[in-house]
Amino acid sequence: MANVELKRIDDEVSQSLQRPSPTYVGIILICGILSLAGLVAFGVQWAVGMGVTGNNVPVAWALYISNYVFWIAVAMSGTFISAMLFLFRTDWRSAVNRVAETMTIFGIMVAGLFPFIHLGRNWVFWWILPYPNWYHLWPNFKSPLIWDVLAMGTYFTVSVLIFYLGLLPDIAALRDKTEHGWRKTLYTVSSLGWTGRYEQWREYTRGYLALAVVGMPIAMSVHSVVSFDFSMAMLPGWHSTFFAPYFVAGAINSGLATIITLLIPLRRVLHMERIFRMRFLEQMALLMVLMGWILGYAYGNEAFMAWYTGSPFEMQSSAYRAYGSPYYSTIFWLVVVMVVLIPMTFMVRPLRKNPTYLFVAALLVNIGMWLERYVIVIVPLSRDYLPSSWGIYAPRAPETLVTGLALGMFLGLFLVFVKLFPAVATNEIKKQVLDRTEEQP
Amino acid sequence: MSQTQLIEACYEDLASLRAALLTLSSEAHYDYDVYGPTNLTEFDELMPYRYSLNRGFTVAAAFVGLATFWIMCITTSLIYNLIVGGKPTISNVPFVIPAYEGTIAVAAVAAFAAAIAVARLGLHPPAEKYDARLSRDTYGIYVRCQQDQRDEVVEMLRSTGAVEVHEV
Repeated sequence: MANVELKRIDDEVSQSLQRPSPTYVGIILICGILSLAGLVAFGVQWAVGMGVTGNNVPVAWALYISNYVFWIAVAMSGTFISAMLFLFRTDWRSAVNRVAETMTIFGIMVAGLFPFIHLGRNWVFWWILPYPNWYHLWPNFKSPLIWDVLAMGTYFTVSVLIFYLGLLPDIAALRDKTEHGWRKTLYTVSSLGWTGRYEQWREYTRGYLALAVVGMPIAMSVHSVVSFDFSMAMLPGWHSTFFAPYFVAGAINSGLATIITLLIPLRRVLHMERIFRMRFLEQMALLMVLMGWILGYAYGNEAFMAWYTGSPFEMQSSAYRAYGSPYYSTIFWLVVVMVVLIPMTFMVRPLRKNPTYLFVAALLVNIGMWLERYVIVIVPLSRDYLPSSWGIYAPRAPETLVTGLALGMFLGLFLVFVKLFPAVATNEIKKQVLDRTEEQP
Repeated sequence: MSQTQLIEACYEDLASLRAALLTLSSEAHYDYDVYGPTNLTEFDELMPYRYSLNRGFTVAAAFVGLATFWIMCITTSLIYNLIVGGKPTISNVPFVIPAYEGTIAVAAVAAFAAAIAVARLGLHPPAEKYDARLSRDTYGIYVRCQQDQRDEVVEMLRSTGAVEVHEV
């Protein structure tokens, strides 16, 4: 005897873990090829030196750092959204939190590659680690770059723990459903002997709450600290106290867009339309409207503050970005359209209820957010105080291919994960269904 | 002397489970465990209260993290006294950030470790007596009783809406 509703959800989730279709495998293979091409490009850079990339004075921080900021933003928003929705007891959290947390884990892994790739002379990378050495050389803890490493490490730790703790009851359910084979071993080992006993649920709830409470501020701080990498520098276009909230709002926006971009195809491929309901996607689209307004305000505020400071350097930097260079200005206005105007269309109900439109729009917002990082990182460096050090940056093959590596690695890992573990917090969905059933007369 | 018996009762819904727990908690002499595929903390008031070290341990760890990272910043600055932008060697304002990150990191690891340790989880499969349905679609109560109480317990569990009652 079993509860029919719980059994249905269990079967639906198990169904999503069945052998993938040839198209699914094909997409994973494409991701693998992208990753391999990026690795080869990195190998060339390792062998020849950083000179093979377009990174050069004045633009010494370029595509690698833009990618880093983009992926860390995607990562930041996952745990933030999950923890925020958990603390506010939002009912649609159960459907999206697993995807959001998975996105965080793989997002940080991908983001973490870029400082390493950007470093140059990668074979001595451990010189930046804090360990006692005979040079008596230690990292400088007054530097935003070191803060960034610490913030990322902490955020990764918290995200992995919150993700794994949340996954335990669902892995146990899979362990008990799977008869034999390598999956049985995988689930048995990774479920840590979870049985669903009351004492386990009590500690799970306490631990999860504690992790959500520490996860929220750390998510806010991680992107604020990333923004310090720029705002602490005395460079027009970067040196602004507004950068931290601006970066956090941007990160939440790109996180929401990424979740929508991942969920819409996923719900169809895994046949989980009844779990990933359109209402949840609509709620996220409405949150994106709010973020679009905040980012619109941020872009306006940047221009206003440049004028209000009266600093000719700030003014020329802002003007250069908006209309001074056909190359950079086109990208800047594309960003405004993609990041601010496209989310506004979600205020029209039929548009945000249309999954195809929502997918395309979310994808465009993602591209816009990536371009925004390109503008933030590269444009101020191209045009600083001295006209003699002005220059234009254009990406070359190595960094373009490494950008593909990031995309391939993120998407590939995500697709493999959702075929191994449930893409949804099954135990929470079951609880919601039971509560709804019992509320009905 | 009568032998101890373990009786398992299965429930399909939370209302019946609540009824059973109400009866069991009012009869103080029963020793029982509850299992379920969804969060059972809504039954907190029906379960025996046990103080958990989880939160205390997390807060203590947070202070340890704060102190450790702050001391690390100060110590390394004294060993490698690099002056940046005119800041003093030991400049506490920038050290707030590493200390903050350390606080959160150590607290999070402690919260997780405490949850795992107190819930007695580890790299071991569940016991053989464990009913695999209880992690998926069924709620269960295991009641330990003396052999002479067996019929009374079975009857009581059935009366609260158990769909299946059997000896383990």
